[in-house]
Amino acid sequence: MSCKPFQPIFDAMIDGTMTAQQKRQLETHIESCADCRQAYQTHCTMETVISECFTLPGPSSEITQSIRTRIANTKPAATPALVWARGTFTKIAAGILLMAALGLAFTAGRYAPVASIDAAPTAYSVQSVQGTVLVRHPGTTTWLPLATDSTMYVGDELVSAPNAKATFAVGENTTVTLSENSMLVLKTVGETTELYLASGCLDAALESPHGPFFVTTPHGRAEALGTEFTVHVQ
Amino acid sequence: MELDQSQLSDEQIIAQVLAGRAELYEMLVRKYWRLAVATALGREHDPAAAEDIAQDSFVRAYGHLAGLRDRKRFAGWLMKIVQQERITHFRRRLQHQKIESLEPARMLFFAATTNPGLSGEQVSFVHGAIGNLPEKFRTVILMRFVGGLSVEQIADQLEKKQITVRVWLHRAYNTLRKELAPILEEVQR
Repeated sequence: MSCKPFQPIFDAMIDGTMTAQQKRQLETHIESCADCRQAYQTHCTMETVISECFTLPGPSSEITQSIRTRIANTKPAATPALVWARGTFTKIAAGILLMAALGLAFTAGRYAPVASIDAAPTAYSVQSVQGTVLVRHPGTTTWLPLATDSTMYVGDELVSAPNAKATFAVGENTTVTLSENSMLVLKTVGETTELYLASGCLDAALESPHGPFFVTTPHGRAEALGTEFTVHVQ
Repeated sequence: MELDQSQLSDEQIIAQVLAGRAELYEMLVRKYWRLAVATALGREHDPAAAEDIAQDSFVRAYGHLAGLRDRKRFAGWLMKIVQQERITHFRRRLQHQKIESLEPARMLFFAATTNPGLSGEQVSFVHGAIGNLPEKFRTVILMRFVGGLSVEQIADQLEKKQITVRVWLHRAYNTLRKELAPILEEVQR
């Protein structure tokens, strides 16, 4: 317990507003007051311990490169990232109404979605998985097993093992099947859909009529003109 | 005349980024990375997830930068985005099965961040005590002791009254002082 006249100085220390003069006064006082000296030392220790327990490394070069790459395809939008509303229920309701009113169509790589308090990217359902297919979400380093009835998001990468395949829906009546030994990135979905097939093979079945649908590979870019097609990267 | 980049305020950096100098956004990433990861750590104490959440938050913040009403309040705005991303990330995780153990990553993470005077257990204890605070108390404690902001600066960033932030901070501080008493005694010996 500190001496009453010095309590405001201790409060200022906690607040981070202690002036140099106050610090000198306190340092003089604690030379002769054991209680205040203990309180001061406890505070300094606590501040040091908390700060040092979060002495985290800065972003790694991998992380900064990843951020650079991701923002390179994003234009800062003049739309609010946070919807301000009182109360959790009101926040959720406001978010749902905002998303419905704007007819949200998620296009990764151009604009981030207009976000509500509970904003989440558009999910695409995985209809079936055979064998081992792994998915990695954008910005993460963890590969996770892809499961039937799970969800995918724009930016997801898929890798299929031998004898494996996965079928997922992209849009209402468009399905894509990734064959074995293949690697795919779901680049954009919306007015324009683009998949990047790094290796392997995919089959696609599109509704007619459909919007621009591209499959990019290391060798070039193909636009789907029909409703069923296969792309094979050798 | 080119501004000395090391002297730029958050406001100036954001203005330059919106004017087309996207590469300057990295200055904000480096400045607030520690605070973002500390905020993202939460109760789960998953360091890899915290870095993912922090990264997603910075990307999301960039995408909405032009909509930030008060550019001086970037830190507070970013903290709120991190809190939202943490919820989104946690919900997504519930739908997936993790295929690797958390423990090796956590121990490596703590090994990289721990003061030689603090054991991994002590660090974990501190993280747990802070993680168990109510969200608003956690936020002000992290902004004060990890972000190095004063009460006035925190109140400004969060658009709250100073008296409100002071009350939160002192309550959180007193709670933590009691929770961390064993660690503080060990360290002071």
